[in-house]
Amino acid sequence: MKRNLIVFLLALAMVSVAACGPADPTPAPDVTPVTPTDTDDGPHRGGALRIATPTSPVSPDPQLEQTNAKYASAMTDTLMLADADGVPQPFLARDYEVSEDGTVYTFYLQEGVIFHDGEPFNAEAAKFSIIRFLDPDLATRKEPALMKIADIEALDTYTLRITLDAPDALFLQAMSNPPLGMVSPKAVEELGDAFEEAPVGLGPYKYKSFIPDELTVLERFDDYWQGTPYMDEIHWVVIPELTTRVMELEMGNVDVLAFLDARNALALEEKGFVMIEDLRFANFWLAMNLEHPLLSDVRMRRAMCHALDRQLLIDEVTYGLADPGYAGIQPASWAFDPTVEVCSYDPEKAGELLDDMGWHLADDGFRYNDEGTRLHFEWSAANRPDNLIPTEIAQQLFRDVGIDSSLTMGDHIWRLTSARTGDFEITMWGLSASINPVAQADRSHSEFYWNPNRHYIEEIDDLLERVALETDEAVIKEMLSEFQHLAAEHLPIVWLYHNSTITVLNPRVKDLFIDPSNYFDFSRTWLEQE
Amino acid sequence: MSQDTTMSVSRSGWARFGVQVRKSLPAKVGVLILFVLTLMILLAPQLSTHDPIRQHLRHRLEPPSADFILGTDHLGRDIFSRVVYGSRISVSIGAAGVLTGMIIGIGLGLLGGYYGGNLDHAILWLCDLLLAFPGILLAITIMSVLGSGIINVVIAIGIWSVPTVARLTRGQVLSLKSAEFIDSARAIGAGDARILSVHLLSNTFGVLLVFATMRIATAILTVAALSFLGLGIAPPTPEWGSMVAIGREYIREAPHVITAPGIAIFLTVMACNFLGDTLQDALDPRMVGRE
Repeated sequence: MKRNLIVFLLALAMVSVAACGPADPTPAPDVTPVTPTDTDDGPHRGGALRIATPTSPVSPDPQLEQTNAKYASAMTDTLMLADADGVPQPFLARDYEVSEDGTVYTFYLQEGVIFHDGEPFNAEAAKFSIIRFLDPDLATRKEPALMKIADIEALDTYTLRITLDAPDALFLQAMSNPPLGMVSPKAVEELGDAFEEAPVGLGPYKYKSFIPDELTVLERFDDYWQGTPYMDEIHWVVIPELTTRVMELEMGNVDVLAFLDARNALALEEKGFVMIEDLRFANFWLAMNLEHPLLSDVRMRRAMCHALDRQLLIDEVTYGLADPGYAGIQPASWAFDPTVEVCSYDPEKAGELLDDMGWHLADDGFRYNDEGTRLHFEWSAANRPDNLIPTEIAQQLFRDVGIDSSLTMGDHIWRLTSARTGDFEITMWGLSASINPVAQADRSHSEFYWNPNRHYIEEIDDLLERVALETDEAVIKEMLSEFQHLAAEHLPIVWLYHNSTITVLNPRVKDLFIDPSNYFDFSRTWLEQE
Repeated sequence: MSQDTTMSVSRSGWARFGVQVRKSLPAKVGVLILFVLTLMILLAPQLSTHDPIRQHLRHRLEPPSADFILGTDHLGRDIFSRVVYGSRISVSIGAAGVLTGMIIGIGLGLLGGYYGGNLDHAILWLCDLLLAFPGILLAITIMSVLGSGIINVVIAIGIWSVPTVARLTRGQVLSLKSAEFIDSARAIGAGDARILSVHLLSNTFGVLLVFATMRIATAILTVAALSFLGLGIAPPTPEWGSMVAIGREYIREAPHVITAPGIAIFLTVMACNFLGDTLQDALDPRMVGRE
């Protein structure tokens, strides 16, 4: 009896601490049974695809999708669509032409396409959708290339002309981003602000319901212009806790986990789940606030770069599923220049640089200057394993060369705010994939929308602005080679690795296509009979 | 005379505590656990087998072995050494937080209870305001405003303890301030400061001691909960709550990571509660006749 009581108390204590974690609202979605069609081995109709996500979108409006939540590409389509190599191909625009000076794009649109509310898709609707997306009051993710749009004109029912202020090598890629999908002008005008709560697009699945922080449901659109989709519904189930998401997949309660870490993904693959790794175009880097007096010195940045063992980070954080980062262009890219010399892992060299700067090693293993000040930096870290683990490893690698560092943790919003306001010293950042090398390089431009480093290297900015105006691949490659040499010399960013973005599926999910930017194409996806 | 009375009550209280400990198994267990804990806190450098923050990445998530008695965590750090060093952080923060709350709360309770009037109303209003928040929610709110860090956790625990201590002290003062020994002290010329600090404070000591013992247990749990939520102590500092939080990620493949700090929290909280109960029984005059 007493033993039972002790076991009970022990369990109670464990639960009481564990219970302090976020609650896991995991409502089991209603699943319609999959029904076979004509053949037993081909695609089957019916069923609901269940995708587990850690957070809920702010709104189901596809144009407001900010974090690649994957519903934009289900609910609507774009004029261009990235192919398996990430190259934009005609989609809702069946063809297009570009003027010789690269500033005028003429799109010839598909005919016979209708929105979910039955309204026809035409050049006026496309113009309306693009203008709505560019509205400064609407919180859409506006790629820099889109800001060059000077004029949009519907030449006839199915011809759209877009004029740019200046040529931009990234314009077509920006036009293929799923959030710049088409929305029904009639619905937007009739619903006003309420459109964000019940959006109308023209993709394979249409809006059904949205419960914030719980469940988003889309249902099949029978009149989809590329043919009726197979599944009845797609459910986005919010499960904040990573371990719970993994367990729900194992138990068959959800079918898809996106943005999964390598450790869990590899474990699931061993258990028979399907792991889809992309081309390793995501970035992970050490962001240093270049406004900090010590970090504005390139020697200090170089010393920190030499202190970091990229291969160790790749092995321990990504379980080998990443390529080392060099100078801002991913090794898998055609524009990568292998001749660029980047500060490799060399603790001795790091020590020499720090000695030169007057930071000498003391008996306690840390470095001090002549005034007796200890060399110390403050990390700002997210309270998530994918950020904490590399930060803690880097903390030890810095300690090995005598750099002391402490760590302040916070949530995602706090990190975003402190990075935006420059209220941080060093931090680890990751950014999702971009397959276009010009877009990859653009992340080193001082005015790139996300520049927590607060760097401004005039030579790099000038070069990148010139690259953006080029359309000849050979010239671009040459200019990007020059860029990589400059990036390695000035080190505005210490690139650590380019990791895969990993999706894991239940094997019953068939024909879910994932483009290199990690957007999902659900139009031909079907579910195997259980 | 009043001093004699107080001391004799204290002496008999402590004597009863000794008897209670000898008689009760939970109390013995509590004392034993706290003795071991004290040894851990004092002899952490001698007891630990590895540097608690040194990573051995090639040995990550290893189960208990001769090299690593309780296994290693996700960065290959020795869990035994982290639990040993973690006792310093978890217990000292809990104790320091409660002490901070006691100092402020006792001060407010003595002043409010003794002087009454608007000062008492203001103190009561402040206590009610703080008590309106559930403890953990109040601590989370304070940590969100102040940010993470050891000092801020102490402040959060302290603020959370203030209203209860203040109300407890005030209640004691209200029942004692018209007692004969206070009138006698006043008659022989004792000033307010002496009456408050010597006569009233010493007579509320027993009740507050019981409260503090119990509150340290909840404070340790709150520190663990704050760290579990990422609001408490930042890594690599070993702290039981953050160790449980990390262990949760690996609970299926390496359950030993969460087990050791979980048991440490459980045993410490249980020991404090056992001891608090025993103290309460010993110091409660109503228990005298029941022994």
